[in-house]
Amino acid sequence: MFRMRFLLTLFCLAGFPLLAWASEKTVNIPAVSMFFIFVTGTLFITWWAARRTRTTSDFYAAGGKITGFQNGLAIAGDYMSAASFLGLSGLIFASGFDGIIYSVGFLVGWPIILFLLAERLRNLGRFTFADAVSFRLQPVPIRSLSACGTLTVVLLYLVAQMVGAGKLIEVLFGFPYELAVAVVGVLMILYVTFGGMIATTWVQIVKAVLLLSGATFLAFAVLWEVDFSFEQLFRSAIDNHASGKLILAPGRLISDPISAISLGLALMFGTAGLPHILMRFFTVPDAKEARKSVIFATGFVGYFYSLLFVIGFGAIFLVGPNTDYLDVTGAIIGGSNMAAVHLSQAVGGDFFLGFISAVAFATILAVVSGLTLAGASAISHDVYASVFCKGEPKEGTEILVSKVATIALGITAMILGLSFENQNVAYMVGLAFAIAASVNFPILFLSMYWSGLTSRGAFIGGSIGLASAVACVITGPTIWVDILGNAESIFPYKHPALFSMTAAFASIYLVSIFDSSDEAAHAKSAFKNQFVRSIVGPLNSEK
Amino acid sequence: MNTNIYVKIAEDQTFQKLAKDKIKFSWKLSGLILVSYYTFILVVAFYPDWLSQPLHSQTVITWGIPAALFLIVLSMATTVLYVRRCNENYDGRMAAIISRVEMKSIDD
Repeated sequence: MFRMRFLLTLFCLAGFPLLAWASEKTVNIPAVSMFFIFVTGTLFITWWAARRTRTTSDFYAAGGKITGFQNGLAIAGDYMSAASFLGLSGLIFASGFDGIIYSVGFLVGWPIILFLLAERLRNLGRFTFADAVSFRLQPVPIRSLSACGTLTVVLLYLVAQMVGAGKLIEVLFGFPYELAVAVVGVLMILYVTFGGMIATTWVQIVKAVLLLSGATFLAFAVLWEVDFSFEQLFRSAIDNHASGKLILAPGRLISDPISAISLGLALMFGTAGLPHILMRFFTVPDAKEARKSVIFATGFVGYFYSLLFVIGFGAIFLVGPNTDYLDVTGAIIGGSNMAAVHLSQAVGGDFFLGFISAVAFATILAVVSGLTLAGASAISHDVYASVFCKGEPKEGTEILVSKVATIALGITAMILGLSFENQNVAYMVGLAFAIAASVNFPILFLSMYWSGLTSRGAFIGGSIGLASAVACVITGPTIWVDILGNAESIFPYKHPALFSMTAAFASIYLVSIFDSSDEAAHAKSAFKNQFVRSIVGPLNSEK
Repeated sequence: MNTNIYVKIAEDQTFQKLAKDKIKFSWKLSGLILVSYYTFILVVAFYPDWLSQPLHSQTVITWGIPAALFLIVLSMATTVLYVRRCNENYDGRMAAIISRVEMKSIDD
């Protein structure tokens, strides 16, 4: 009861200045009201979830009580971030086929996760992917490295989302940037600290359903315009795009072979190393449900990306030539990321624009909550409980540390979001994927599939993967030239994954085979036991 | 006690056969996805013109569009295939092995 009153009070405190401010300036009233309905709903979910969050397992993994279908929707929700909804439809709007290459890359990682990782991960771990990696390897170095990998990925992703959210909300709702960042930060802290994984999952599910419905309507409206003829859809797009026929061909965005391969690796294996996605496999009761979640997630994400193709190409002829959506220079207002948003107004009027804007805001909120929870678990479960307390934390302290970590991460994300306001943050998501593919994925994959992997190999090789991914991006064209203003980049490619993944795998292999310590012998001999466990799962007698 | 059961399962020959079958099937499907996807990426990288050709003379739709749709459908289809094989084949065999080994260890 106290918690509910507390949440309501906070909600009102946050709401009134917004409303007061809203009445003074031109704000998008339908968008703001629908967003308030969403926030009220999610705070109710948080209150409901808070009453069900008692144990550590409830907090990190929703007590393992999420069904495969629900988890599939939640995973799809994590995937359908604002970056993919607005970013990918904008990319297709701007460069046509190149945008499709990205969408396909995001999707094909999924079957690989299912065939090689999902069940074993669920069978070996409890709350974080580091549980599975440290099953036979030394927990202290492995968990420290995994936590570094997780936190770097989470922070980069969070900053990108925060800056994106601030900009988006500035345009959509008419709120100032700082206020938008603060609203996202505060709500996300509330969801995670009070409702843990239960609230984070349900907020994600609600948003996934809203976004899928909104995108379905958008795509349907576009197809209606072209009498459901794909031929007509592409013809209209070609006629209304400056590049004409080139939009249906691979082209400018991915200019050289090395970049294309490197990007392909990052998209596919980065997906298999994202901590907030891997964590979702612990919210289901067993490996069978983990499997089911992937089938639903792949279905929903595949369907969603197919809708995005239609939305992106539809925006080319429904938004592109319409002067209402262009500024004086003829460029689209708010940048190409706004293509789907303008399209919603073009086909559904102000009311639907409001709905899509509210859904976009909701999307950011849901994704940052999942990210924050993943980051907080790395701090409390991997660093605090396993490294500092040697796996025996005092009862209750682990959740407390997790909540404090959530607040700290939330505040850090807000500060970074404010300080990066006018920076180009697009490279951050790419870097996050490259790090996930070069640190988290290699150690997780090799721990399960290579008996020769030793703790030293995983630690040194993983660190080299992390360092090389960061170094390649800093010395690459995006930061070295575009941001730091140097004439020429030291590392010539935009996407580092080909090089950083190779560095990680090669050094893990070399260090492991030359590791003759007692610990290495132990890690190798424990592989057989881990292997059986990873296939059989926890037995009933153990539960 | 439990590690005991795991050791017994590990030594069980039907388990070894099951694990081998399952891993082989996983790798086959993974191989299919990896080969298809990296063929696509390599074509994008080295022969982008192949994907720029129209399907036939009366259309503007290029080969790139069905290629991308193929990868999406392939991802979904292999996922369904894998889950069905697990549900209909591997899960039942696994359950049988576990109950047999557990019964045996109670008898012992």
